[in-house]
Amino acid sequence: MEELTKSDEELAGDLQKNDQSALSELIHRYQNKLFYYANRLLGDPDDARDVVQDTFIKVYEHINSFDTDRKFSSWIYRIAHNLAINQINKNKRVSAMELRTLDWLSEHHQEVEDFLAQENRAELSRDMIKCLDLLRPEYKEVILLYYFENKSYEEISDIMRIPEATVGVWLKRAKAKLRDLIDINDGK
Amino acid sequence: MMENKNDSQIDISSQVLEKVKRGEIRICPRWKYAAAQLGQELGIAVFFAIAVFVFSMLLHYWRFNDLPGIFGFGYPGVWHILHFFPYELLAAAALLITMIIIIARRSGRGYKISRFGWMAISLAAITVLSGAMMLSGINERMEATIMRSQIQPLHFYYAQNLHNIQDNVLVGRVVMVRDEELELSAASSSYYFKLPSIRIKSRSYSPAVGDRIRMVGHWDQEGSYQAWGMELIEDKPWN
Repeated sequence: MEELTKSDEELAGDLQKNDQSALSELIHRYQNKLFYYANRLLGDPDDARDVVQDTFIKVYEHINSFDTDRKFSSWIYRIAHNLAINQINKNKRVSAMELRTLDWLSEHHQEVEDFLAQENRAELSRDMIKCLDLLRPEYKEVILLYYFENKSYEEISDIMRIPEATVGVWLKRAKAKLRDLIDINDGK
Repeated sequence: MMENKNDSQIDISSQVLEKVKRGEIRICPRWKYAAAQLGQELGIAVFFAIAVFVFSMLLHYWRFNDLPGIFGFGYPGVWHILHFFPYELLAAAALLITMIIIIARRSGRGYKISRFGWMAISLAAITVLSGAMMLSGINERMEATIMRSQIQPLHFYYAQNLHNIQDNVLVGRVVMVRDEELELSAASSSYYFKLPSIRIKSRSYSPAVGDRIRMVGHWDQEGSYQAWGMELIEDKPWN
C-alpha cells in the first residue's frame, strides 16, 4: 500500500534496487495510458498491446539507465515511442489507410476545420484520430502527445528527443498539412 | 468530446512479472551505462581534438601560402587556389564535425540543441582553438619534425599538398626590364618573362630594376615556369 503514495520516480528508484512490487505498481499506473497512446499511434490493438508489454520489459532491463532526478513518464513514453516507431516501420500499411481516411475527411470536413481554427489547446474527438493517419508519423505523434496525452512541449521534447522549438514547428506543420488536405479534398 | 481512456483497458502485469520471476529478463548492470557514457564523451573529445588539428593545418596552409595575397589577383588567383586546395583536409574536417554532432545529440540532453546549433557551437570552438594552435607555431614545429623523420608518406603529403602553391610561386629581384621583357633573378637562376602576358596586380605598378617581386604561375612538363601574375612585395621573412 505504501507504493500508492510514492511518486513514479521513487518507485523507479526502488525498482533499481530490484523491488518487484515497485515494478507491479508502475505497470498498473502506466499500462492503460501507454496502451491508449500506442493504439492511437499504431491503429491496431494487438500491436499496441505487444508494444506496451515490450515497453515494460525494457523498463525493467534498463531501469539503471534512468536518472531519478528526471521525469519517469517522459522516459517510459520515450521507450514506448521507439517501439511503436519500429512497429510502424514493420507494418507499412499506408496506402489502404490513406484511402479510407480521405473518405472520412470528406464526411467530417467541418469538425477538422473547427479544430484548425482553435488558437489554444482544444479538445479533440475520438474521430479526429482518423485524419491523423494522413500525417507523417512524427507529426501525428506530436499531435497525439500534445492533444490526447496532454504533454507539455518540454515533455514531448524529452519523449521524441527533439528541441522544444521543433515541437512547436511540427505542431504548426501538422495543422498546415491537415489544412492542405481539406483544401485538396474540397477541390475534388 | 474527449475519448474516454477507460474504454482501452489491458492488464499485462502478470505476463511481465512472470518473465521476471523466471529470470527471462534481467536488470542490466549500472557499469554498462557508465561505460557507454564514458565512450560517448571520449568519442566527442577524440573527434574534437582531431578536428582542431585538421582545421589548424588548413589555417596553416592559408597563412603559409599567403592565400589572401593570391586572391588579390582576382579570377586567375581564385582558380589557382581552387586548383591546388587540399580538399581532403576540408572533407576530413566536415566528417569529424558530423561525427561530433551525431554523438553529442545522442548523449544526455544533447537533443535539446538542434543540429544547426551543434554545428555552430562545434565550428566556433574548433575555429578558436585551431587558430590559437596555428598562431602558436605548433604546425611549423610539427612539419619540421615530420620532415626530419623517416615517415616518407608524410614527407610526400607535406611537399605535394601543403606547399603546392608555394612551389608554383617564384620570388626574386628584377635585374632587367627592356622592351616589355623582364629578367628575374630567383633561387640562383634567371628567368625571362614577356610582360604583356602577365597580369600585374596593381595597375599603377611598373616593374623596375631592383624591385622584389612575386610571380604566380606553374611549372610545365618541360620544366619551364609559366607565369600569369606578378606583384611587388616587401621584404618579409615569409616572402
